[in-house]
Amino acid sequence: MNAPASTLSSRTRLAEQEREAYQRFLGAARAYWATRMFAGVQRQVESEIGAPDTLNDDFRSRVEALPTYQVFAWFERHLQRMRYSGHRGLAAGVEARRAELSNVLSRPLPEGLLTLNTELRLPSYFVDCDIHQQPGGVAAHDLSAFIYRDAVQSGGVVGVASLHDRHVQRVLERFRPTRILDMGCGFGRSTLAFAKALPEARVCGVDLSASCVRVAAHETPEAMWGRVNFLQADATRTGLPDCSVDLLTSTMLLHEMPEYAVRQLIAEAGRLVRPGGMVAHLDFLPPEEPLLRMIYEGHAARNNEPYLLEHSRINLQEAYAAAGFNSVEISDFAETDDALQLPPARWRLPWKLILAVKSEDA
Amino acid sequence: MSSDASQSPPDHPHFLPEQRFFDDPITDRLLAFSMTLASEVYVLRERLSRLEQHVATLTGDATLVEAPPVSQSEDAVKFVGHLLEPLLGEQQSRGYP
Repeated sequence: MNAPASTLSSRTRLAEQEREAYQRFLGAARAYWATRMFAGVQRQVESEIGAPDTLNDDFRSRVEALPTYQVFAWFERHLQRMRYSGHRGLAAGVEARRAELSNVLSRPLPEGLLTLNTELRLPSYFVDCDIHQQPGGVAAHDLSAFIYRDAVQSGGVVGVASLHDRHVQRVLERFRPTRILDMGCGFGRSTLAFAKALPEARVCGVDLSASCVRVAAHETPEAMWGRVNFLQADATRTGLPDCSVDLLTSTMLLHEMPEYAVRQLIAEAGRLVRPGGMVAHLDFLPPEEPLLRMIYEGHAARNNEPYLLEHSRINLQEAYAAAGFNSVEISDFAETDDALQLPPARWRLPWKLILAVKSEDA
Repeated sequence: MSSDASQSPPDHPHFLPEQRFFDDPITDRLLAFSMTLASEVYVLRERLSRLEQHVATLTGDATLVEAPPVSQSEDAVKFVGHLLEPLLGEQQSRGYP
């Protein structure tokens, strides 16, 4: 028997309130995990093991035997599972709002803002693993990008609101591009941050996920229509014209790709960036400190990031030089004012800014 | 859209075995069970709080509402701190040597 519409509405509202409460609980637990629990691991390692100069098997096995480390590792894995899955998870939450969200996606867009490619063959590395533990990944269905967006906006290590603005500012300290290509743009946060900071620039976001670029296009403010567009394409073979961009950027893309694909991306960057142009990747590279490095390496399995370490095995200087770039700089990136303090007050991803400048005569 | 299977690692399983963090996998599962239960307690706390505020509004009896009122986020932080602190194994009093 179907419930009356008014009853159904109040039940739906209650379910959403309870989902919000559940996610609030998880958010607080994640904050505790990243601060108090992380500090507990640091203290126990310091008092019972000490710190070797480099990460080695003996240190790794002794840390893995510590109860606090085991609890810390468990929480990283399972808080993320709880966030996405189950009847109070973000995936179920988006499904519950299917009608509302589908309505958002059905609004007409101006010509040129969104280009989908229904013939695109998605690489297996993109579809064979549920990255971040998001069931089905970000390309599973038309609303997948909303699940990812809800996860990012609910906080955590990549949910810092100022992240993209800080990235843009770091780039603008060096360079003021007018044609920008944002690889692996997701639901458009990074792309729109560049468009907002550079009102004269044309900005294109590219992603494999149709759901992501659709959501990105629908989130683009009308004031940006005409100079921002989103394209469903493979960043390693975009099909865009040679030397057509001043700046090629990406945020949290390289670590999601296997080594061969990163090398293809660098080659594609060499083709797309005009002489004198720049590449700016905001991504992660493994920390030097043994415990931080161990936690980071473990993050790969715990968060379903199978390619997390692959781009760090590439000699970026050589790879970019082969693609026509004459300088590569890798520097720390602070996602918040106190992010780089030592010892770290909270566990954080090891953000790095990778800049490469293409030769004027390339 | 289709998937490019030619770039797939050989025999890549779509679902990998359960990840284990403790010596006995039952510990992993019981901790998951406990966290699910704790999350439901928290959900009920917020629901009860809303009901108390509603009743307080209807009756004008402010004693029904926790004082001083805290935000939901602050309440979550307090609840989680109380819940998870024992997992760190840190002693709250000096022990017998």
